[in-house]
Amino acid sequence: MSAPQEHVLAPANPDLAGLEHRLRDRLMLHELRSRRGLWNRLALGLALIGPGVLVMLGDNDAGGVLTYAQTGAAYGLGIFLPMMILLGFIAYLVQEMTIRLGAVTRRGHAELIWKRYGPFWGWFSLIDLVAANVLTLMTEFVGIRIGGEVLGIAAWITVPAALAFIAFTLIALRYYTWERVALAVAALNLVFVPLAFMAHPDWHAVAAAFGGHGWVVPGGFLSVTFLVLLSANIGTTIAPWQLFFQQSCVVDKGVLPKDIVASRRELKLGIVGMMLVAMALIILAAQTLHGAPDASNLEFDAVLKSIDAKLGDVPMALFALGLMEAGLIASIVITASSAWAIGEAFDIPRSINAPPRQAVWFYASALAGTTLAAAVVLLPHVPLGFLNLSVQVIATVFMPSALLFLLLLLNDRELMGEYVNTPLRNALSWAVMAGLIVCNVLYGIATLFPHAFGN
Amino acid sequence: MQHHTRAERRHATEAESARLAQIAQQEGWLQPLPEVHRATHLKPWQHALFWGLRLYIVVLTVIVAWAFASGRVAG
Repeated sequence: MSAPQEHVLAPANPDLAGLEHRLRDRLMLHELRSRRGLWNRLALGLALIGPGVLVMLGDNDAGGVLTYAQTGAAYGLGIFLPMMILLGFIAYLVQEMTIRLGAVTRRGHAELIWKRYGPFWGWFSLIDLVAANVLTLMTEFVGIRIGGEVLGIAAWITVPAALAFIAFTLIALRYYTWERVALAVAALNLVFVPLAFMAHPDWHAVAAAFGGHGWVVPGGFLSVTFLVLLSANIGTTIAPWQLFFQQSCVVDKGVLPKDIVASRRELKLGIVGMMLVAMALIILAAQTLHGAPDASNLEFDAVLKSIDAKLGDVPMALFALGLMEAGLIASIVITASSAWAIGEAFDIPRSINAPPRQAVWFYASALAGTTLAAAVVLLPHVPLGFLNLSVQVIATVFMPSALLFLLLLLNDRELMGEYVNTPLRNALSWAVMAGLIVCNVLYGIATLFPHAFGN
Repeated sequence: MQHHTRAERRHATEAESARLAQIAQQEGWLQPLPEVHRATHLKPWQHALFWGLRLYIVVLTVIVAWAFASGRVAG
């Protein structure tokens, strides 16, 4: 295998970093595809799972857990429960574009923005992404810290241990193993589903919510609470890091145009998982927190106390475990998204398949941000509200531009050839983008000026 | 499958190398990626979009900076 090895060892071309490992992964898929039998089909299905499931379950992060709990507390089994299906559809529409873009161009999102639209937009996207990622990571480590404390583990153990785990998986494992470990962590996200059953909800009321029952919004659709929770739910379903993460992940996994159909399938699987967890959390909160005062501003402590009071110790411990897992899986994928974006922007070796000696800056730059986030969370009196607000404000400014670039790139025939967006997909995507901008702006106004809408 | 002797191990390595080279060839992994050139000829509506985006960013940044500086937002 002389030719690939020569290229792998040649640091001059960053696109080829870690190529040998990627070829092994491709060979494994090729061989699984050529075999028959149930076990081989199952093995192939499992091997194809990756970016889509990771991005969507990573999306149910610590902040997302809190958002869904606040939503259930504020509106019970109302309009937000069926809205998760709509949000799942929107997530599919947006994330599917990153699959095609990555598979066809074999380049990440940051790289394409940089090369196609110049350094101004390249720097703008990179700075926004990294700043938002570091701030988001702080909220993830807060989730890990609080979950650990509930389980009787001190912050000085849980936070450094989580950081060490993230660093180890990224540096020591190559892409396929890293993906398998991350998927195993992500699967624990489903711990919230049995928790919803343990809350003994009225399943008739749950079913009725999908038929229009309980959709009345106290205060109206322009109330601050509704706008804040609507935008927070949208923000936790579609965030800028997700676009960058999935496209780079698709590239690093070695997904090609012939794998787009399979990648779409595994994205759908991830979205179903995301929706199940989100609905489970809303149902759980509707049972344990509905009617709590100032529901849209509930903190983790109040949620945990309420679960303890209504359901007992074991469900509270499970929730705490889920909170830690949500923070951990999000930290793993967000750290990777920073690493890829920085690597693409500076055109340095940028593959989890590349050994650390070949891609020092790829690993070091992203882990520096994650270490900073972990260190801040270990400080006493972390301003969690300020962190959340800053993340939301940056996302408000950044999300429309990230989507705009995505749509421009997906309509770029020179890059995409026959894989450009169809007119229908464009119409839906522009409508989603317009809706997101309106929600973002209303959310920004409602957050910064709470009395702007007269309530 | 275990390869016990040195010759068997060498044979297995060579066979795998051949398969890797074959997949690299089949899927075009050794061919350089096409260059991505800077988009220089933007259509009028694209120019309008970029200016709209710049305006959006400036207005939002000013509002956010003012809101934080004036103490309207304390987190």
